[in-house]
Amino acid sequence: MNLTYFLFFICIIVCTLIITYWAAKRSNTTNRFYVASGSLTGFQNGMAIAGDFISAASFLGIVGMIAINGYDGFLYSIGFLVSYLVVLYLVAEPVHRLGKYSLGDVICSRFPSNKMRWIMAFGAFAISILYMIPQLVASGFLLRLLLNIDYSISVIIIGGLMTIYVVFGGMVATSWVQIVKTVVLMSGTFLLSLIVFSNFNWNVPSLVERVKELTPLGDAFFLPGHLFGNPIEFFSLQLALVLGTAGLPHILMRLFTVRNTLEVRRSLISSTWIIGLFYLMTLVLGLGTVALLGYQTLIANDPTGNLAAPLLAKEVGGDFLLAFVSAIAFTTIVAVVAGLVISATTAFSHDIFHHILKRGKSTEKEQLRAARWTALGIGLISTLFALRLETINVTFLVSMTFIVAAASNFPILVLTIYWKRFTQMGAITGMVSGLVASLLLVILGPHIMNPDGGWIAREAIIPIQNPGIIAIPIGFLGAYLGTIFSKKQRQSNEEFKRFFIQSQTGIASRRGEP
Amino acid sequence: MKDLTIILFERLGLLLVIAFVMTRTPGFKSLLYREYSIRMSLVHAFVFGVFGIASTVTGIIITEEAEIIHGFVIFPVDSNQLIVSSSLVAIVIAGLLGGPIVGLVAGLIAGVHLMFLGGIGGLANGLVNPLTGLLAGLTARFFSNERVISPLKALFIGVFPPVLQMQLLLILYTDGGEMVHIVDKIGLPLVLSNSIAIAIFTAMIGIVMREQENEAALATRQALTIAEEALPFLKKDSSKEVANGLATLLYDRLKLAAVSITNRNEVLAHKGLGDKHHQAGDPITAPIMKKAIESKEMQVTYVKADIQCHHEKCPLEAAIIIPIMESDEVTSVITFYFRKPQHISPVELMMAEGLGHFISNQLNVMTTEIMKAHIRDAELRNLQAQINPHFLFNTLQLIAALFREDPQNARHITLQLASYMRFNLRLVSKSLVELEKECEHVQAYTSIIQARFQGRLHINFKKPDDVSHTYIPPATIQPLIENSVQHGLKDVSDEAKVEIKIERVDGIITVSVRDNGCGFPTHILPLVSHKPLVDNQNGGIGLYNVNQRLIRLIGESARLHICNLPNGGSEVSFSIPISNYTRSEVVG
Repeated sequence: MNLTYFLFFICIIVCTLIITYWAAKRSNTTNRFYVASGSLTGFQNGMAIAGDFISAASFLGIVGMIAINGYDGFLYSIGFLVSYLVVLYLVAEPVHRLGKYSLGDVICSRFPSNKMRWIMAFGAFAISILYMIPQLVASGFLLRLLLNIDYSISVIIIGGLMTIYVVFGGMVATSWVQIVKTVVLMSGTFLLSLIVFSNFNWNVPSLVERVKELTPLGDAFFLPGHLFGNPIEFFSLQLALVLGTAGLPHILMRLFTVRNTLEVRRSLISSTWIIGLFYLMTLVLGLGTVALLGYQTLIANDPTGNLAAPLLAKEVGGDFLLAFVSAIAFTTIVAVVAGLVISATTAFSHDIFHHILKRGKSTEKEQLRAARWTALGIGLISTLFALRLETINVTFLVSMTFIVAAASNFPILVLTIYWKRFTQMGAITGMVSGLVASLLLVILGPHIMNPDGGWIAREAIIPIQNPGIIAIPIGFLGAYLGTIFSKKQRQSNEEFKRFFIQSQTGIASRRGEP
Repeated sequence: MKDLTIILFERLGLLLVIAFVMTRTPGFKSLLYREYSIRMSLVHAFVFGVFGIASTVTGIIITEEAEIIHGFVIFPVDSNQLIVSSSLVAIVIAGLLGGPIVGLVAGLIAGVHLMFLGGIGGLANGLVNPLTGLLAGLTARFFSNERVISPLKALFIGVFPPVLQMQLLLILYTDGGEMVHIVDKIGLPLVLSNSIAIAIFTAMIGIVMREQENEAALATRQALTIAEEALPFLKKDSSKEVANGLATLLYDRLKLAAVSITNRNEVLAHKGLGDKHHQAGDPITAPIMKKAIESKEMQVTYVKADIQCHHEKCPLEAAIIIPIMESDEVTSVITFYFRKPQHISPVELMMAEGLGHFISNQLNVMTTEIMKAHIRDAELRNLQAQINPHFLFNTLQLIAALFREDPQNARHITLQLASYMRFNLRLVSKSLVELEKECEHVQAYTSIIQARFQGRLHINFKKPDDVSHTYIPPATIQPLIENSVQHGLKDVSDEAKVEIKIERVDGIITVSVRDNGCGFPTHILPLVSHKPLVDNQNGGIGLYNVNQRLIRLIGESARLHICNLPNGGSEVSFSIPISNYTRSEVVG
């Protein structure tokens, strides 16, 4: 690791710690800690959402995927983008109006009971942890590749940083780390794309020609069919991505950090723009990598293609630019994991500790203390997990997170908001069946049951990589059946009308629990 | 790379020294404090643009072969040379302080200069400056709601302009790998030196701002303290005392060369330098003072001639003259004297103006209060002066009866009635009378009453021989006697006694009226002097009025003390100090 890298990393760490310090002085209420008291503007929140969402896997992985697989790599990222339309049109505003801090608040505003809260909290907690561990593991590998430092040290650094952000700065620090990350990431990728273009004298056709020359795929680089041979696999993956985002607790939590629904819309629209532009730029970077480095060099350095962007930076800008891009990747990692820590923290300390264990009667101070301890605990546990899982391939956990979110959280959320006859029983069965189905399908799928190198070394029972296409309908079906068979719990028309009006307009006529 | 870093730091150090000196000048401070206007923004942009140019001039040149050329960059450079300038420091500061537009304009100035100097990175250098200015302005707006961004944040923000610059260089010059080498070479040194310089610069500006804010806070606190401390002096009665107190206070608090307070014609007090020849009682000569009195506006003079001191070696050379207004008339003038004209700063001017308004307002408020008290007193006296028609009627009847039996006595009573009525007439025009006169009044009243209740009432009036130099609100004792006679003796058929005693102990006159009647009903005892007791006929109101007048004219110490005596009857008493008022005020 040379001096340039080191200084850039120090700079990023110091900056985020300053933000945390600044935020720590302000995170003295639960409202501030969980949702930054709704103080962000729509645009800032949009940047934070983008910062929450664009993981290092997106930045580095998709550039590599495009460089290696061409068109299909780009198609992969489309699902991430389109998912925001689902969030925007179906769930965003009702969630903002119904919830206070967590997803549990949203569902419990229609079905107020401890059982419901338990399940929602568990779902949110599980999804956040499931998502966080592969992120941490991947970031450990990345840092090792970029900085040439030991895997466990990199995991400890990132785990420590994310814990510090959340424990001391809460949502305020997390948001601003994410905003900074988005600014740095977007400007860095933008300039890097410009450098790529300028290397071809701003002549796009010549860039495309060069790509065709240097990739083994030739003309077929720009045609589909290299990554997703099976249309069902592709559809299933995209379905999970598109619907899963609307069930990811750490994204939905960001809908509470703004003042009103107008700002919610604004934040989703701006985040969609940012994410869309970002994926466009990854396309440029992917093409640039092939055109300037060639397929062979890339594969030689790292067969997964994850190092495409850093290698490109080194090629066009030397060590200086490489250091900068590595710093960007580093910021990307910490911002995403910090977002996950806070969502897991909220699920535990707000839903379980405050509402269930203390029956909603704990004081502000107790809640804050609980939240900080929870964050510390979660940070520690996930760091330990990530340390232990070095040798095991955990990348499937990412796709599993989306499947779980799409099969359990998403159906419950949509049905709660829109289906008049939905019951608490239905919500619980939906949640459970979605969760169990996706877990089972992954375990029985080729990720784990694989003759060569799987945890269970035999032919997969369900030979599908992305089981979303099966799990998601099961989630909906479970919810439907649960509702049908629990007639006695049905709410009256009046009650649903009141709830529906509140979710669509924010006008609450219900007394008691919000 | 290490050498380059050190050279860049040296050059930036030079610039920071200049910047430090600049921040010490009053001009720069005012630059920070003014409100935003187009003109000020332009001045800002220009200053920072020029500073950017200076940074370029003190920059270094690097050749394609990565050779470093020292020496100032004044003339256009060759086409294979790159100027490494630190102009971004100034531009970032401009953007952070003044916003995107100021940053952009400053950047344009520095950028055009860099483009004019040319060289290999001319275009990129020229472009990066306005772009940085704009972005820094937007960043400041986006990130922070403080006026000056904190140095640590600035350090972080300062990392990016050189990165941007490097990337622009890479974007615009792609032929061959030389640029990559140059960027590798200069990138980190520039990032390091620029970000640290920006942080230091911001810290410097922060210090200047804080100094100014502290100054302002101090001035505000001082003004408030003075206002608070001046109040007791303003309440003093004699204008000499007011003037002396105020002058001392202002002189002590404001650290002025001298303070003088004058009325319209002469100096009342002078405190501080030159008090040997500026003395109380001197007539006002300075034309500027007369001007202040006439125009009713604050005057400031920076010339000695305006003060027109007859003394040749008078050390006072400048002054602020503050007219004090009472009901639209200048009644007095406060003058702050300074040894040198440059000692007058905006702080002093604001303070002077504020104090002038404050004191004028206070005086007006006090005048109104005094006026109110006078009106109220006059009302009370008028009430007191109205002779109870029953009393007059009974007395006249008594006189008519006496004419036959005892003409001598009739004559005496008639004279007493005349004296009593004369006193009551005078009552309306005076707020205080000598105790002697009051005693005569009591005497007249008791004579009449005694004659009326001949044989049934015994009045005993005791007073010390010498009661001179004591002043008392007129007709304060008579209502007490009337009260005793009317209420105290209601049910006592014979041997009714009223004892009036005036005693003089240790400079205090105590007046007490006792009776041996039934006393006050216990439930109204605590209320008698505090509330007008309407249903209790005149007596209740009488005692209340007397009490009010005593308190208002003499003070809380003169309040009425009312109690029932242990063996029947009641006592009403009050005490007043001897000669607490000068004669002139009694007359006036």
